[in-house]
Parts: sequence; C-alpha cells; structure tokens
Amino acid sequence: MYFLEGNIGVGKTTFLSLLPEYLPDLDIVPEPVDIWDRSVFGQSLLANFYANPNRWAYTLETLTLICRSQDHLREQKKTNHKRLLERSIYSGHYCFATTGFKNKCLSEIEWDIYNKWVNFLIHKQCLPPRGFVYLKATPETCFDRVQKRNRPAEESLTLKYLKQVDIVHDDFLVHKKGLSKNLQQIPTLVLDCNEDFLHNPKNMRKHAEKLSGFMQNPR
Amino acid sequence: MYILEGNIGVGKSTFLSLLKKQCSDLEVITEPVEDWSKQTYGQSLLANFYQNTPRWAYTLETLTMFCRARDHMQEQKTTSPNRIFERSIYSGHYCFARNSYESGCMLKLEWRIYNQWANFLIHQECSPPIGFIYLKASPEACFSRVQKRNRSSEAAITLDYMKQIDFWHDHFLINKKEVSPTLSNIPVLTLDCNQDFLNNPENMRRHAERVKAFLEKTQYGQTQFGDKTCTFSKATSE
Repeated sequence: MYFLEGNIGVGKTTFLSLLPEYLPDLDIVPEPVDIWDRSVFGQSLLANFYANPNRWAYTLETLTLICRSQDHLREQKKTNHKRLLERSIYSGHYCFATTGFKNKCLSEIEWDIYNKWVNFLIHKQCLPPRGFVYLKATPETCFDRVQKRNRPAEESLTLKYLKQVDIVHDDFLVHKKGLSKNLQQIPTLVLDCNEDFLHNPKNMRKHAEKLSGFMQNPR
Repeated sequence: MYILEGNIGVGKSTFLSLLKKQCSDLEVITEPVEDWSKQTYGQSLLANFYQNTPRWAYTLETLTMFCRARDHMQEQKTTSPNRIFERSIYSGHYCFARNSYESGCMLKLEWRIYNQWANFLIHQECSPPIGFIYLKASPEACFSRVQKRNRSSEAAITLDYMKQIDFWHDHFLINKKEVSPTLSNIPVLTLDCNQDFLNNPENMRRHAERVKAFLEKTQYGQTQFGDKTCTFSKATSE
C-alpha cells in the first residue's frame, strides 16, 4: 500500500478524484475526514480544535489516531499493493500531533499519554507502506486553496499554521528527520503541485504517469 | 484468566493476598494503578481531574483504558488459566467510564470518541476471561472501609459516588445489561463481602472454597468457550 500525504489544501481529495481516470486499477481509500469534521451533537471536533486548540488537541489527536490505525490495520492485510490511502498514522503523528505539542496545544501529560498510544499502535502493530506520495505546494498556495474551498471547520485556519505543517511534512517525507529506522527506508515520490492540476489535464497526466512509474519501481 | 471485580474499598487487594495464601497454585495480578496514580504525571492528571473533571475526564479515561488494554492483551497470550486479575478493561469501561459519562463529566462528543477506542480495543482485541469473581458489599460498607484505609488519592470520594459505582457493577455483572454478547455469557461468581473476611478466617476460607469450586467448574466445561486466542492480525476485520 501507498500513502498520499500533503499539506491542508494542497489538493489531495481532488487528486484522488481525478486519478481513477488515469490509473483505473488503483484502489483509493480517502481520509475519513468526515469522522472528525462531522457534526456530532452540534459540534465538529475539527472546528472545536481550530477554535480552541489547547482544549481539543488531545481529543482530536486520539480520535484521528484510532481511525487511522483501524484503517491501516485493515488495509495492511490486503495483498494487492496497488492501493493509495489518503494520509496516514505517520503524518498524523509526525506532522499534526508533533506540531500540536510544539505549539503547546498538548500539555506534557497529554503528550505522554498520546505517545503511549502511538508506541502501542504504530510501532508495534502497523507495517510501513511501500512508498509515500507527497503532494507539495507552497503554504501560500495551499492557504489560497483552503480559502477558496471554504469548509466551515477551516475558518480559523491561519497561514502561519500551514507554514508549520509544511515544514514538518518536509522533515518527515524529504529529510526523514526523527523517523524510526524502518520508515527512513521507505521511498517518497514528491509531486510539485504548485500549478493547478484540476483544470489542467496535462499536469494531472504527468502526475499520474510519475505515480505509475513509482509504483512499478519505487526504489 | 479470571477477573476480580468490585467497588472501591470492598477489599479486593486484601482478598487477593489472602486467597494466594490458601491457593498456592493460583497466580494473582494486582491492578496496575501505578500508571495513573503513582507516577508524577499520573498524579498531576488525577489532580487535574479532581479540580476540573469535565476538562480532564476523557483524558483520564483514555489513559486508564490504555493501561488496562495493554496489560490485558499481554496477559491473554499466557495460556495458564489459573490466574486472577484485579479489575479489568471491562469494569474500567462498563463501570467507571460509563459512570463518568452518565454523571455529565464527559460530553457526548467525547463519549463517542471514547467508544470508538473501546469498540476497537475491548471488543476486537481483547478476549474475554473464563469467569468474573465479583466481590459485593453495600456502598455504605465499602465507604466505611475506604475511610478507614485513608488513601490520600481517595479523600475526595463520596458515598454518593460509591453508590453510583455499585449500581454500574450490578448492571454489568449481575443484570448484564448493555453488555456485549461475548461477555454476557461469561459466568460470574458473586461473593457477599459485607462481613469482614480479613479478621475472620472462617469467612475467608468459605470464599476461597467457592473460588476453587468456580475455577474447577468453569474449566471443566472450558471447551464450550472455544478458542480464546485473539491476535491483532486477525481481529481487525469488520
């Protein structure tokens, strides 16, 4: 299995919706974002989090962790390699939770408990993917796209936050900083997504071709 | 494995230490309270929890669930059946977390998320025990024992809280209401612990006899419970 990673607003969902046209054999598993953005009893946890991160970071991180782990554990048992999953327990951990802790949205206690779950689930139960596919655009471009799509939960999202998330994605996928040994060896395909690929089929075709080649020969 | 359950203060630790003396081939495993009440961060989490329960209940419940699930999954790999655990992921869930939610300490949103974990860990990854042993005494008796033992972390416990916990224990172990089907078939031995058994060896001897008989009876018919091994790799499919 492969993971599709990238900043908020880079166009992961769009990318995945266009991909079947080019790679019809590929199984696609979208991020279960509606679980944390669904309005449960009048509250979206994601909206709560953006509005008051200190109160909600731990809650959000544990929810995303359990959802991603369940998906991961289910998917890693399948033998067909041509599967692309949107986001992963790895970006959830190395990008989002870590940023939350750096920003002091998670207290020491919460970080400690969160890491108990991570060690238990990620490091003991989850097998690394065959490769990562990293959609990369400048934080400014991503921010612009976030504003255009106008999702209610994302109203309080700032450019500053997208810049942080961009840096930790590079650390994780390009520089492979602080990763466990078995993750360091996993190859990453970086696709430059600064140019629009939704209205520009040529760009999208190039991305799909690169992806196809990567899956045939990831190393 | 067997699980010993009961209200705070009913005498679980005392019971296990005395039982061990009478049944030497029995292994007893005490509750891993150190993870959330003895370590430094556990102390501060408990302190946070008592100061501002609605803010910290979800955090505390996920920590206790983690510790219990980890231990349960570790222990279920051991094949020797004659082991008794103090408390479990089940009472943590059906009694304490449930009470925390019902008494308004967790939001519905948090309860939903908590249950997502519970469904995954408890119902998919943990195999049920062979039987439960339920030490039962009135909340008043438990409360008076709690006051006598005078543990600092228990200073804030009220009789009202003990009554709630008593109710949820009965709900779970006697009435078996709202319990998952795999658990409602598990036999329960209820021991009346209103009378003191620490200073009354005759009472303790009777309890021990009943435990032994329960162990024999449940293991004699063990095949009916089927394969109890449950691993991560095969338990996750829906």
